[in-house]
Amino acid sequence: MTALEIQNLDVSFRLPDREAPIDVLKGVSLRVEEGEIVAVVGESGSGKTTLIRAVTGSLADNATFSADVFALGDLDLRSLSRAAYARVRGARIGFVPQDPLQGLNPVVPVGRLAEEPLRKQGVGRAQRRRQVLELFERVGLDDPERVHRSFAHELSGGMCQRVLIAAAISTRPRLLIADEPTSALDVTIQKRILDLLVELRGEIRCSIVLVTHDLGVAEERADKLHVISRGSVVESGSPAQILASPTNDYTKLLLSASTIGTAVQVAEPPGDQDTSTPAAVHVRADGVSKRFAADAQALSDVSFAVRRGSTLGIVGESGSGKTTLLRIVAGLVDGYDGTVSVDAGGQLADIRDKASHGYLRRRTQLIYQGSYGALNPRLSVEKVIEEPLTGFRLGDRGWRRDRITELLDLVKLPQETRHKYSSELSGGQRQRVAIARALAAEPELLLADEPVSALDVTVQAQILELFRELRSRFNLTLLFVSHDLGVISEVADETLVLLRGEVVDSGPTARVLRESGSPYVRELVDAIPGGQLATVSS
Amino acid sequence: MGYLKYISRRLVYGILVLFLTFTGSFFLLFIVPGDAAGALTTGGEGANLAAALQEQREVLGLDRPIQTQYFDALWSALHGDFGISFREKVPASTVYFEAFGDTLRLASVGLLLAIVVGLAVGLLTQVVHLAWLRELLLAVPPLFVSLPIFLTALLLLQLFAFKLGLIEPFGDESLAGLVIASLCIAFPGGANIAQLLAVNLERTMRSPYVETLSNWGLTRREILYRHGLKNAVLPVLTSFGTTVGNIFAGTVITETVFSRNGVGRIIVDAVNAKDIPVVLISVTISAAIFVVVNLLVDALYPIIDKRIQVA
Repeated sequence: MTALEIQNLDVSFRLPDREAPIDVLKGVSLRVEEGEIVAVVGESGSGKTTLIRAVTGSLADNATFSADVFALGDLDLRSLSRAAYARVRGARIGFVPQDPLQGLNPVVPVGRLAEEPLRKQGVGRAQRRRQVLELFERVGLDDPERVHRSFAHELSGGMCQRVLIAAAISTRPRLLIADEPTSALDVTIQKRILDLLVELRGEIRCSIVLVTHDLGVAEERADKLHVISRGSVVESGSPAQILASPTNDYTKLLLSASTIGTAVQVAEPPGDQDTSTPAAVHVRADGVSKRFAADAQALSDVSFAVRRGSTLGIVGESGSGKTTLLRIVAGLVDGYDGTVSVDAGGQLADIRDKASHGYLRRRTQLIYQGSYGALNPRLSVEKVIEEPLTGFRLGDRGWRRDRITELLDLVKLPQETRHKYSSELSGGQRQRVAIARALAAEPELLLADEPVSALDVTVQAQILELFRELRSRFNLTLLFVSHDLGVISEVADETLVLLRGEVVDSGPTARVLRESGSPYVRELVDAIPGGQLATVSS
Repeated sequence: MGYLKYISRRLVYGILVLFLTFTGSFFLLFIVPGDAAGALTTGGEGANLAAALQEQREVLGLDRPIQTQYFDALWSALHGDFGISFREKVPASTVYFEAFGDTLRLASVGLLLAIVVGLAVGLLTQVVHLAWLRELLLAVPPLFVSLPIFLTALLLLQLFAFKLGLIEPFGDESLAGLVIASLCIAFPGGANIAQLLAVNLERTMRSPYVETLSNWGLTRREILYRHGLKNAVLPVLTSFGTTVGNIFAGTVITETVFSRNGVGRIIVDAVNAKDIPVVLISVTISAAIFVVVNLLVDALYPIIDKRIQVA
């Protein structure tokens, strides 16, 4: 029995300021058999959200839609009225959203929220409460009663996602749509949530459509895999088939990008075979501790030393204190114990000294995760990059113009970008602008806080490549914070793993990844999605 | 007990506001040239005027050093005694509370209308399907927010008293008179509520959890009433303290234009006559109302939105 069948689906949007409608999906066909997990893999802008909305009947009003077959079991979805579709959603199609924290109403207790699908089916108050509590227990939430009265902000991301999964399966839908269900979660949690979905599939006998940008997540759990690019399915088949012999260029690109970090499991990572005489220590932390409130220890006794021109990767999950550590080094956080010193010209000095403080201001630059929020939307790219130049009073107008031209070349952005605004750029381009801005005043030390985690994998690979290139070209010292050990392994010479503010392991990246004695580090390494990809593609 | 600590801190701020209002208005009256004795002896005869002024000052206690007068007034006020009105020769509290009932009635009707109409219009912008009606509902509140009260009051008076003859132009005590006068203060208050609610509903209905709920089979209307409203009403609640303050401020102008009895007129008269006791009690009680309303809003907020960390 087929759970969902789509043949030749076209969706286009009509925009008020455009003559021709924009085609978002073109001739998409896919089939989900009962009990199957089908993964749809694509990057942002590929049309995967539109595909989900087409199935759940929530396309915007300006969309036109046609398909040869569009059926949920024996129900033809094309002929459904708006009201009839509302009865299908929730009852026959379950839905797990992308960002669990944002997917829950903040001012309603999660228990009452999770009861909504059952309430909609007309289940009475007492019974739906009992059912939801049972489901909470089933999806692995300890103390269901307490969770039931909690609000979303009182729970972790993983717990919120479990609540959402419980709600989605409460009506025993035949089809479960999971829209990037784990991309907002820490890697170790990610793995557990995906395992839970696979388990539940067997238990309530539903089919799952797993929509993701991450080929690694998809290939490990899916029975069938569809790669979608620019609105068309470019490759379909079993994961093994596709990984073994991808026929489409885009799939190949995705595949090579998805092996980020997995290389460490098969080959020596780059960067640590440096045989020249070791450079002097550029930044050093000794016994750095920081607590915020009386009960929140952000960092305890963290020490490290980074040589000039090398890269230290700082890995940890949310709340591990990695960003706090970076901010301390940048001189942005006060009131910590221990010392951070920097080589401002000849010898190490405490960053609280006046000279080092000036050095930090002048020769250190930060690069942030949210490239969107980090760029002033009212300034053109040119003005954004010029800011540090005018700030430090460097050169005259002509010189600055030449410098911007040079910087755009450095980060491989076309010159015509200089007159654009950040809203007109893609995520990768914005991050390139942020890097250009950071480089403008010729820094010696770059502090990067999750600089690639908001980007698609193929773009991630390009930005990481850019970091490597710039680092060796300008002999930059780089402190690189990420939650993703895979990303860290691509750039870092040495790696520091943080767990709840404490250093779990540190040392040369290759050793940390392959020989760490810490069970936590092992868990992080195992959680890098797509372990299987590495062996296939190498 | 974080909540109690939070409330007591707010309470301390409130008391501070009352103290500063009292002190500020006391000294402001001394900065303005002239005093109550001057106002009371206006029209007196030439030769005796200086003596009369002096005598009057002694009677009113205005000849004492200013700090003595201030601490005396503050100490009495702390005991609930604001002194005898210079002009009316009866306790200031009597003068004030005779008029307070009228103003309270005007302000309450105005506030009630503002809340009901504001919430209704704000909600309608999200419920109405007709595009032109929606646009209209969105366009009207900004217009009313920007209308000055004295202008609305004059227009309403012109229309209802002189054109339609529905109310008396001067001091109409009927229900119709009350409602029409209260409209001038209800308009900006209600428009403010409507605007805030409409904007926040719009934004709330675009949040990711709305899509989740919709995919669980809830209709748009269900999501709006069961989930959206509670989120969108929070900013309206925040501004409620200011709304109440504006409404009380609006009564002064409204009472003047409609020639109604009330605190508004008393304040105007008292300031003109430098009647310190009446000014002080009026200002202090207005400030107290403002403080209490804001205290209530602050107390309610963490109960409605659990994300607010009280400290």
